[in-house]
Amino acid sequence: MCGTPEKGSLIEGQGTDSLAELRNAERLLDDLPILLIGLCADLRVTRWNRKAGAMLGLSADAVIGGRLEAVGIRWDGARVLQGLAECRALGRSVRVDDVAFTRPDGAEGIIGLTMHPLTREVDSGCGFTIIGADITERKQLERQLAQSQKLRSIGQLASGIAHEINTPTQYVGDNTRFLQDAFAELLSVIGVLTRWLQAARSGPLGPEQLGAVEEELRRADLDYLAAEIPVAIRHTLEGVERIAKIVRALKEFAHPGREEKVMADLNAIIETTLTVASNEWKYVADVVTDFDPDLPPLACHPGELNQVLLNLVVNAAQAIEEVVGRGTGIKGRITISTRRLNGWVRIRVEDTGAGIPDTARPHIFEPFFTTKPVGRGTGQGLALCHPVIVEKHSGRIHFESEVGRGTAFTIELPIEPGEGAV
Amino acid sequence: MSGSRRGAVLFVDDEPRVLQGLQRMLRRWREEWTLGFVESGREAIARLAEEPFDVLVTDLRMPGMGGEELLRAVKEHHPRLVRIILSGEMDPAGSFTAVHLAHRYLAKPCEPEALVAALTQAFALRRWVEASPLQGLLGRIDTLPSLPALYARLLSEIQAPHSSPRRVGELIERDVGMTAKILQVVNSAFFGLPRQVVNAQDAVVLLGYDTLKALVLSSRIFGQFDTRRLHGLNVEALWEHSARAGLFARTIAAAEALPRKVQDEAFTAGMLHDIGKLVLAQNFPEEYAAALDDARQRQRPPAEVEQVRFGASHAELGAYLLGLWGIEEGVVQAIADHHQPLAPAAGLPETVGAANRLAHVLLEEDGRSHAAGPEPEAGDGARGHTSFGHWQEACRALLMQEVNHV
Repeated sequence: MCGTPEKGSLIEGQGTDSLAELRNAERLLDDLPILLIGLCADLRVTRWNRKAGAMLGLSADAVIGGRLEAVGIRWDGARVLQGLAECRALGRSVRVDDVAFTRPDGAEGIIGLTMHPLTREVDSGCGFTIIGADITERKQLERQLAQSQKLRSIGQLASGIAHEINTPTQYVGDNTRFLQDAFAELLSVIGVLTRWLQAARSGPLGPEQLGAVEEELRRADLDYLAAEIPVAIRHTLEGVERIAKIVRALKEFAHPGREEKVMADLNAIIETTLTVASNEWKYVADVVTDFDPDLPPLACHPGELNQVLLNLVVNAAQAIEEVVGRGTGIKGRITISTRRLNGWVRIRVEDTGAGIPDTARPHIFEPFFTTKPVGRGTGQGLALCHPVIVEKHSGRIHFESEVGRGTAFTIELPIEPGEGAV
Repeated sequence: MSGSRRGAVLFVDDEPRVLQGLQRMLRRWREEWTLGFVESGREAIARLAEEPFDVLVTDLRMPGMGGEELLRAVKEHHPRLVRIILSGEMDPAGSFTAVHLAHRYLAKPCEPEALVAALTQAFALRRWVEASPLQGLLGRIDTLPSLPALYARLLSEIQAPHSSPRRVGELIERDVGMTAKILQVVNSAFFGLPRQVVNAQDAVVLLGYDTLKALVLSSRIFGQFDTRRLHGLNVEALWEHSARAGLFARTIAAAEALPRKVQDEAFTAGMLHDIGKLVLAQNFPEEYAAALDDARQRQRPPAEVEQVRFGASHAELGAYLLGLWGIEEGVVQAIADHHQPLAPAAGLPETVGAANRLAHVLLEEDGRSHAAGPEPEAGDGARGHTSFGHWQEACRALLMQEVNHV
């Protein structure tokens, strides 16, 4: 418990010189261009600098002494309390980068907070210091950047995707045309048979007439139609489903991500990526998926994970093409597996490609580093993976590679937020 | 016609469902055509070695031997096969490198009617060749000009669902030489446009797609020939003659109040009627130069001399090439017949035949010598036509405008 904090309380019993020094320090903290909030262990506000007042639209007088959750701050209080709980549990600083808040002018924004536990609070147990800043614009820029990266990679996939759509469209069209013709033929046969049926009503048909009926049936090639029509219908439906699947995957892929993480099925995210990129790998590799069926839903940014996986899959395909050559018909293998391991989910993307040369290994996550010929890689792919996994998802990414044997990338993501922070 | 054998087509696609779909769709033609289906380039090569086919329809992107490699092999070992690409590829960089190896490019998804029309035309062409002396000449020809990639790209842009004159214009603009050529033609007095056209997009709107296609195709074909090597033939003069013939043919078609479509076809046929000469000059440089000399000395039409020396004339040869590329059959026929005496009618063949003669006659009148080779027969078989004088006046008026314009 902390008593009612008073301006003088912390500096009681100090000498005049240090008193002046402390006053200076107080003023300095108050003038800091970042938000600074002090809390004691029961989350009463002990400090509230000017920037905090300006950003959140509440004066120090209005909040000092009140409980953080009760003083009327217009922000995502649950997210802040969750961060503080985490901070207390871990006993170290926690960064919460996605707190939605309402500015004094009513505009929505995002605030980034860092929470520090105070362990040496004199008589009040463990309190906290929160510092923070309005990072709305930075977040917007990041989001635009992520979206434009994604759209760019879709652009690069566009011709492959078109190919994947145009092929089934071709056979859906042809089969439908066949069904149209076949239906017309069947109708005409039925017409002829109906006429003979009517003739049969007025007297028995002679062998000659029966022969004509048989001839009509033979000419219609009913056996062929009976065998082919069901297949044509099946292929048509499959083709339409193939097109729909690509379009759905593309839609998911292109969906602009949200600020908050959402619960998503990691296996489904991998499937989407494989579908969108299928034309990139299918001529050089077979893809084997080995999914853990009991994978729990994971709080994540699906769009960004799509992007990371796309990079890994396209890289794997290109590494394999280096080995098997273009248009040889020989294929390598890309194996993608998911596993749940204690509090983690592990994704592995393995290929039977050329492997990463020793000299390149230390650099592969660096921006603009590429070993690919001009026009094939921008050196942005893996550089993009690292922050998405490590910073945004508190995860880990690493790889093993052997020249001539292949490369395996491993991504590990914590199931519970906070668990992964190392 | 020796057309006892049925038309035979071999389809190659790595997706079995595409092949099965085609097989079902083409079932209606099972009595008339022989259809073969294989799933890889290698199988295609094996099949072609065993059985005669007339047409090859292949996908481009396939595992193992891809479409491009297959087309190259077929061009080398079965040069008489009509080669058609049927591809779902959209990337111009990827697919258009293979275009020059094929005669036609059809994009997936391809309307059944378009595919059937392409096959019908290819089979008809084969029957026509087999029945004509062209058969022997083709056996001696090593290289036919390849389908210009820009032309194929233009066709696919025009056929694309979201095509617009703006996008077509942008495609043209990417090619500076082509843009200059088109602006030059569109701004000539022949088109009688009220104002100066300064960009390709406006030119596209004013010319219309069909005229644009003819311009792109003809200037690209002419561009493929190394003028220095064709010493018997003045390529520059032939280009001018062709452009004039195209405009005359259109003028005549307009004077006869033929539908817009026929006017466009007349322009196309006029522009392209002499490309057979380029092929002859390229494949037989010495022999063709000698033939032209002979024609000049003996005051005989080149076509007549060609007929004697090569077994067929540039008219049939050019028509054959354009038929391979899927140019409208009316245009192909008009080109094949452009030296025939004019029939009393006033249809596409007559406009082209008359335009070619007038392009020669009026130039001679004008006192300019015809560097592409005189055709003393120019008026023969034409002056008897009731409308010839009328057409001559219309074309002369056009020529005067052109002179005043400059």
